[in-house]
Amino acid sequence: MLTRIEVDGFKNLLGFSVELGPFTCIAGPNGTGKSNVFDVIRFLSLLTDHEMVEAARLLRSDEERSADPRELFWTDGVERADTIRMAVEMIVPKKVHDDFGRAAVPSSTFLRYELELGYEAPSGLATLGSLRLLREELTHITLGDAANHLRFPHRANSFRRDVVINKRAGTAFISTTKDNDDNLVIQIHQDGGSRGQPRPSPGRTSPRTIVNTVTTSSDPTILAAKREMQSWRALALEPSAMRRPDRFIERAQVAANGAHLAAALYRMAHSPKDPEKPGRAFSKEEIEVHAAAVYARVAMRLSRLLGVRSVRVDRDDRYERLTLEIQEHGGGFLPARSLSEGTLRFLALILLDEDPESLGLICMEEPENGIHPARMEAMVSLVGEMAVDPDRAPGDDNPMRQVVVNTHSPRFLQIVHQPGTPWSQEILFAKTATVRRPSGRVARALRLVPLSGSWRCTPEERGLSVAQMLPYLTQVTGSTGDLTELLASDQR
Amino acid sequence: MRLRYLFLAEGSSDLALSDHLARLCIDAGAAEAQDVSPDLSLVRPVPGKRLVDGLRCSLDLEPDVDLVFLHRDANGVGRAARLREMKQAMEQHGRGLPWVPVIPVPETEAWLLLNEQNIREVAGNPRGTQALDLPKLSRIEAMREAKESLQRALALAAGASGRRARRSASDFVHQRRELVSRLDPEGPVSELLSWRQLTQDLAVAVGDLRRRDERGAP
Repeated sequence: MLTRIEVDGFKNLLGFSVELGPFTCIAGPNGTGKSNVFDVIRFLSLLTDHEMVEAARLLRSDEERSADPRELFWTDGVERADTIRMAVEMIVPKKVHDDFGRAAVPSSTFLRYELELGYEAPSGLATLGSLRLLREELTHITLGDAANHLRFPHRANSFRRDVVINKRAGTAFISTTKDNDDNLVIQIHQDGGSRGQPRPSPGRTSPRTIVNTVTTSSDPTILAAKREMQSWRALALEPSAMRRPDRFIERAQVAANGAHLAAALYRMAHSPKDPEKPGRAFSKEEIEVHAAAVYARVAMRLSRLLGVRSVRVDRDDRYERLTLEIQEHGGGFLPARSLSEGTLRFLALILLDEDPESLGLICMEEPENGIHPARMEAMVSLVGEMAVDPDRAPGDDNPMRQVVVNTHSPRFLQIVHQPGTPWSQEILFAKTATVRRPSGRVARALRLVPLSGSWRCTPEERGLSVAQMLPYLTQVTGSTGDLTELLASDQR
Repeated sequence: MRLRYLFLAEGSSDLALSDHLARLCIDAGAAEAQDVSPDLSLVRPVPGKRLVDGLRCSLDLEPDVDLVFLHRDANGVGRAARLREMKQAMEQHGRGLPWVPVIPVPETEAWLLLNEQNIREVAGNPRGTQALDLPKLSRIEAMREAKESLQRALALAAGASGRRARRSASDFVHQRRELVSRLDPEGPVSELLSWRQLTQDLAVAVGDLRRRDERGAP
């Protein structure tokens, strides 16, 4: 769970920070650069799997993939930031597996990770510049500090004490120093299975971050931080990916583009769990009963939004193919390739929510797209309820899952803000602020501002009055239209 | 004959009955049937809960209809009293339109207690085997508490898993709505007196409309 981000020098983020709880709704007009917050989260996630230059390349849209990583550094057209500083605070899983399938138990689960990158101009035959690691640190947050760092409303006994564990005292897990010749040295300190002296690693020449290079359970806390960041993903559902049938794949999950709906649902339906006796075997009959129940539950949830009667996965053993099928009221089963994009989007979100193995942070850009205004409330509940309930301990029935959405839909925002929803405190407005750069130049930078009186507000971090929502609310009355008014104007 | 009708449901979770009413119109001889009821939940100020209020408001918004369905449970006052209420409302604001009463006895839930498999499906456990203690068809219309009986059956069918507790609060409304959608007009419901009454009344109304249609303008 990503609980805090600090960024300086990345795109339009200067001196930027935000705290996140289980659910966050970022509201603001197009063009404020609010999606750069998603980009920095994705960038950190990509850095754990790819070389730095490759991560920068993957962050860009398909057309401009050859662009120079310099484009990531803040600029106003006159000057450019020479470093990108990023820091995150996160609660990592209590147990992870390394690349060889071995279990690893981190000694701390509440961590702060800091990364500073510089730009290296092209030299020799290269036409594109590259990225240089300037600093990397991973430290723990003590149990005593945890309450101050986790400010979103939650129950300390059932939630915080379950997820925040610390057995570490003193040193960092990763630290950055300089040697006698003023060369940068990044060190991995002993943890869990690893013993002895810290292992130094040359920062300047490394194409990867240290977190990226850790692959084994002998550095369990670094590995857990890596797994946590790998679980941060931006959902961008593509109709073609959602319509495709699946091959038989093990441990399938719904992908960020919506692929593997069929395989993920099939896995959920056919792998029952017994909370009393984990790991026990199930009879064929028991599995069938469980599968029918999973399909029925998914169908019932979908029927809140659409006229759906049943959902199932057709298994074709001859071609080793899984096809998702939906039956509407008064019709037969239709395969995914014949279903509408709206139906598949809802289905993908329901599966992400129903799957106890889909964990981590999900960023969603404008979930209201393509949704009929009358279904908006259902969409808000769906994305809101996906997030972990911070009043209960996480587990199979309360997966540790975090959701960040951004929207410019007045209707969506109005529903999130409704009194009585658990989410009205979770609105952040994207606003531009004017700041002075160290160079003395004046620049414009993105700020995410909470509503006054919500949990993110402090004497320093002041909120916006609810009147800031007026532009959204007045638009709502104008756009959805009141039937009586509509009729009156029609007759005039 | 292409028939346009209004359907005034007792509650929003009964709206799915409309699909079945359209089907009954076809069975009664209409070539095409279409529900043209305006969505009263969008009207401001919100119309009153009484039948007359809904009827007046609906016909103000959509006066061009051939037939009106009025749906109210018999519950409490009985079918005769409900009919009187409906007749009064139609005399006041019905614009002389033909109308058909839809009066489940004792309440709409009675129609939903007839299909055990549907109950198991909407409860989320289609292959469950727990006894649901459903009433016999012959006794259903003499029950006092069809709604309670349905709630009990749904709880039994779901089993005591306790999973997903935080969503269960609003589940009954949704389950009930789904059961209304899944009602089979040709299934056991067609043996109930209240349903037979509905189909007979509708046959008469559609018959009149067809004769009127054949004669030309009314």
